[in-house]
Amino acid sequence: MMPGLQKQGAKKAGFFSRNFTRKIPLSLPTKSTLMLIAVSIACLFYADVEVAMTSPWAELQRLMLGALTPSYPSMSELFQAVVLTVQFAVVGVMVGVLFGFGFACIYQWAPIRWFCALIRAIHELFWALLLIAVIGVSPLAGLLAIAIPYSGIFAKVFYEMLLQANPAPDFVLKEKAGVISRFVYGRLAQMAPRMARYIRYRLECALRSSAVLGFVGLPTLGYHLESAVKEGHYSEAWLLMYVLLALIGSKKWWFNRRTWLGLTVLACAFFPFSESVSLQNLGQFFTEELVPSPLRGVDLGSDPSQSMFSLSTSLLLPWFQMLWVNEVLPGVINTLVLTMLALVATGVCVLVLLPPQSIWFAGKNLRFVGQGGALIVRSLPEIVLAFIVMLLVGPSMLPAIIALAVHNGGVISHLLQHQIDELRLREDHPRGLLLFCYEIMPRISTQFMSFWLYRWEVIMRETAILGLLGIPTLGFYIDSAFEDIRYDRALLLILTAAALNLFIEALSGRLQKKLYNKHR
Amino acid sequence: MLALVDHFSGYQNRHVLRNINLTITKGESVAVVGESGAGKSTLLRQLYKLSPKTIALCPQSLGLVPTLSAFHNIYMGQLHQRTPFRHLLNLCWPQTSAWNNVLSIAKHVGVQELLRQPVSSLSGGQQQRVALARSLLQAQSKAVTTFIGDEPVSSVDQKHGGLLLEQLKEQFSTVIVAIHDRQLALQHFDRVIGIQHGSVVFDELSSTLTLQDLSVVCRDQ
Amino acid sequence: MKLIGKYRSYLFVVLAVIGCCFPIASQAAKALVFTAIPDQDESQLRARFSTVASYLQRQLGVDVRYLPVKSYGAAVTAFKNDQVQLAWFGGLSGVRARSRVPGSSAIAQGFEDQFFTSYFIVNRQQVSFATSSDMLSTSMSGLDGLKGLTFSFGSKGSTSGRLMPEFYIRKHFTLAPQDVFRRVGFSGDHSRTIALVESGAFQAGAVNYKVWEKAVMQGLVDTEKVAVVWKTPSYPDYQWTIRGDVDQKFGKGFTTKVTNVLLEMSDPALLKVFPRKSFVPAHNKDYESIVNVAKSIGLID
Repeated sequence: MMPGLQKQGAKKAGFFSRNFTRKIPLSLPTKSTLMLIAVSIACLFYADVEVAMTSPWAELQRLMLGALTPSYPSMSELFQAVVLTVQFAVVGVMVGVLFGFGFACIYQWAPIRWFCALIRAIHELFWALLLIAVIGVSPLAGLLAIAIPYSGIFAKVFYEMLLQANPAPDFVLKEKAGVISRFVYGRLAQMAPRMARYIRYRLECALRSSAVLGFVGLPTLGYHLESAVKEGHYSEAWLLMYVLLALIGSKKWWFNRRTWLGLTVLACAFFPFSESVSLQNLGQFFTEELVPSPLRGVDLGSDPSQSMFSLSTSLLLPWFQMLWVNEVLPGVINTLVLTMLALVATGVCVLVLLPPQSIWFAGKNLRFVGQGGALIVRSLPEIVLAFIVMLLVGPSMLPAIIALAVHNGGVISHLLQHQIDELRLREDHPRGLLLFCYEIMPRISTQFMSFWLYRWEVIMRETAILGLLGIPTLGFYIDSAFEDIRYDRALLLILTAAALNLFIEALSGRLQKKLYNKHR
Repeated sequence: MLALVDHFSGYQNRHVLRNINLTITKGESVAVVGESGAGKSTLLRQLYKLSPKTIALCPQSLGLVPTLSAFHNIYMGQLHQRTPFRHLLNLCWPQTSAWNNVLSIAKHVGVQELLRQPVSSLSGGQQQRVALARSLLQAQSKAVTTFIGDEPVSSVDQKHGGLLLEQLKEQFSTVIVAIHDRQLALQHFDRVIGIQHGSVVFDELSSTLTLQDLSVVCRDQ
Repeated sequence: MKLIGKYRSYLFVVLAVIGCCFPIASQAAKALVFTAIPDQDESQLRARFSTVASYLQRQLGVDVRYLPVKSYGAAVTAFKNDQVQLAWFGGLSGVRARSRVPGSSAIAQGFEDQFFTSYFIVNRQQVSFATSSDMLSTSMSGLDGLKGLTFSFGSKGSTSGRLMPEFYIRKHFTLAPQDVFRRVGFSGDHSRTIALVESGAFQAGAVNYKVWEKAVMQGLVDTEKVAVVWKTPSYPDYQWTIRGDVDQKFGKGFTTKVTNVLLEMSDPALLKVFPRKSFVPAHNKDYESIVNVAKSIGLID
C-alpha cells in the first residue's frame, strides 16, 4: 500500500457516483511510482523466478550454526586479507580523490564529462577483470579497479559541490588574488567539509568494493569469503563477514581527520606494488586481444577492390550479429528485467525496514534490532547476500532480486530514518499503520523518490555483476567472455553495460530534476 | 470538565507555566490571551493532555500534510474511528460517503472548491480553514466534545474569523482558543483568561471585560 | 606563490602519494611460479600445492612459488602474461593457454588423464531413474532421462565439467544445453556441483570422475541421494604445461629437467594432491581431440 496514491480517474469515479467526479490529481512521486510498478509488473512475465531447493532447512541450519560459531583456521591469512582490503580501499579512494579533483576542475569540458561518465559506469569488478587480463593478478590491478571508477564518481560529485559553493567570496577576491588562491579561498574552503564527509562515505563503499574484488582472485576478504560460502564452510564465512562488518562499523575511529594522512602514507608505503606486475603483454592486449576476432590477422589494405571500410564491415557484421542475438540482447533484457524488479522490491523493503528503525513506530529494543539489521544488510556486499539466498532458494533471478532489494532497502531506510525521526507532527496524530500512510509517507515522498531514483543506477550496476552468480544478465556473458579469454567480446559487452547504465543515469537524473523543481 | 491544580510545567529551572489553577466546565467557550511566549501554547497542550480522547486539537503549526490533498487532510479527522482498512481505501480511492461527508464540512468553512488540491498549494488562510475542517470532522464522533485551538483563525480576516469561531461553538460544547485578536475574544467567548509570564493574570467573564482590560496582557497588534 | 609556500608541507605529502602510485614496475627475483586450475575444494588449494612447490624447489634448485587463482580463465591469463611459467591445466584450459603462448608445450599428464571421463549425476529424490546395469555403458540412452531437468555444469572453462559433457549432450540431443534442460547453471567447481545436486538446487549435473570417486570414498556425498546415470567415453584431460621461454630464463635444458622431475614424482603424499597414480609423458598433439571438440561447440575460435 503506497500512501499518497490518490488514484482517481474521471471515468472510474462514475462507477461510484455518476453525477459527481472526485478526481484528485496524482502527485508526481505517485505517478512515477505507479509507472515503475507497472513496468515491473510487465517485467514479471519475463522474469525467471523459481524456488528450486527441496530441502533448504538443513542448509539454513548449518548457516545459522556458522553464525554462532565463527572461526578461522589461519589468523595470519586473515590478517593479510584485512590489511590488503584496507589498503585497496584507502589507496584506491585517495588516488580516486586526486584524479577526481583534477577532473572536477576541468569538468566543464564535455569530453572530460563523457570520459568520467564512462569510467564510472563500469563496475569495479569489471575493471578488475579487465585489469587482471592486462597486467595479471596483481595488487596494482585491484588498486586501479577501485581508483578508476571512483575518479569518475568523485569528479562529478566534487564538480557539483564546487558549483553549489556561494559565489560571493570568489567574486570579492576577483581582481585581487591569483587564480589558485581565489579558487582555494573562494570556493574550496567553503566546500572542504562537505567534500571530506563525502570522502569518508566513499571509503565505506570502497571497503565493500575492495572485499568484493576478492571474488575475481585478489586476496582480500572476499577471496576467502567466496571460497568459504561456496564450499559451505559457514563458520569461516561468518567470521569473515563479522570482520568486514567490524571494519566498516569502526571506520570513524580509524579513518578520521587525525589519522587519514598517516594511514594513507602507511598504506601507500607498504603497498605491494611491484608484486608480479607483468607489462610485457600490454601491447599485445591492445593490438590483438581487444580486436574483434574476425579482424585479427586480416590485412585490411591488401585487397584494392574493396575499401577498408566495406571489408571490415563485411567481416564484422556476422560476428556482431551473432553476439547481438546470443549474448547482448538476452543480456540486456535480463539485466533490465532484473533491475526493474529489484528496484520495486527495494521500495517494498524500505517500507518494511523503515518502521522498526524509527521512534514513531518502535520502542527502544525494537529500534536496536531494526537499526542493527539495517546496518548488517547494508554493510554486506550484495553479491554475498545473493550467494546466501541462492543457497536457500536455488538459482534463479529470485536471490538476486532479494539481495539487491534488501541491501538497497537497508541503505535507503537508514537515510530516511534520520529524516522521519526529525519530523514534528501534531499531537493528536494517528498511530501505527495510519500514521505511516497518512502522515509519514506523504511527507517524505519526494525525498524517498530521490533516494530511490538514485539507487536505480546503483542497482543497475550491481545487477550486471550478479551475473557472476549464473543469472544470465550482461555480467554472466561478460564473465563467460573472460573465462573463454575472448576479450574482444568482453569489451563489447562491458561497453553495452556501461551504455545501459548511462541511459538509466540520464533517465533518473531527469526524473529527479523534475521532482526537485516541483518540490520547490 | 478540565482542571489544572497548582500546575507547573517547563524545564528544570525555567517554568513556562507557574502555579496554574484552572477549571473549565462543559459548555464554556474560553479565549486565552497573552503575548507570544507567555505560555498560551503550553497551557493549551497541558489542557489537551488531560483528556486527549474527548478533544479535537488544532495546533498553531496546523499539522497538515502538505503533499496530500485538502480532502485527505480533512478526512484525517476521522482516522481515530472505524477500521484502518476503510481509511487506507479512502487514501487511495475516496469513497462517495466519505467524500460527501468531508464536502459538507468543507462547505461550513468555505473550502469546498479546494478539496482536490494539495495543501502545499493553498494560502495560509485556506490552510487554516482546512485544519479547522479536520477538527470539525472530529466533532462527528460522540466522544469528542471539546475543541482546543492555538490561534486557529490568525490568518483569516476578522469577519470570517468570527464566523469560523461561531461554527466551532456550534459543533463543540466546549471551545478553548488562544487568540491575539482582542475584539474576537470579547465578542465570541463567554470567558477570557489572560496569561503573562506563565501565570494567569485575569480569568473573567467576557461581559465584565473591556478591550482596555485585555491590553494589559495583549499589546496592540 | 605565497600560498604554495604556506602549504609546502602538504604539497610534499601529495607528491609522495602520487609517487607511491606510480611504482617502477620491477620484476620479482627469478623464481619459477606455477599455478593450478581451481577445480575442487578451493580453500584447500594453497595448502595442497605448497607441498608440491617445496618438492619442485628441492629437485630443481630454483625458487618455486605457487600462485593461487580463482578461475580457469585466470589461470590461463596468468600463464599467458608470464606470471606463471608452469601450470597444471585441464584439457581445455591447456589448449587455450598453449594457443596463446607460442613455444609452450604439454610435458606430463596423470596416468589417469590418458583415459579420463565425466559422470552425469542426478538427484534421486527428484528424478526417478530406472536402475539398470546398462546405465554405465557407453550407449547414450542414459542421457534420455535428463531432458527437461535443471542441470549444472562445473566451471565454464572445465573440460570434464563443461566441454565433454556439453559435447555429448549436443551429440545426443542435437540441441544446445539451454534447449535440452529447463535451466543450465555453472557451479564453478566439481565439489560444488555434487553439493548442489545433492541438495536439490539442481536436479542433475556433470562432474569430473576423479572428484566424484574421491567424494564417495571420503563419504562426502550421500549415494542414496545422488546417483551416477551415465559416463562419457574417455578423453585426455589434465596435464602440466610449460612456457617455451623457460630455457632462456633458467638455463638450457630446464624444460627437460622439469619434465623429468614431474615424471619421477613417486611420493604418494604428493601424488594425492592431484590425485593421480603417477605422471606419464604428454605432448601437444595428444590434445588434438580436445581442440576439435572445443571448436565444434564454439568454445574456441
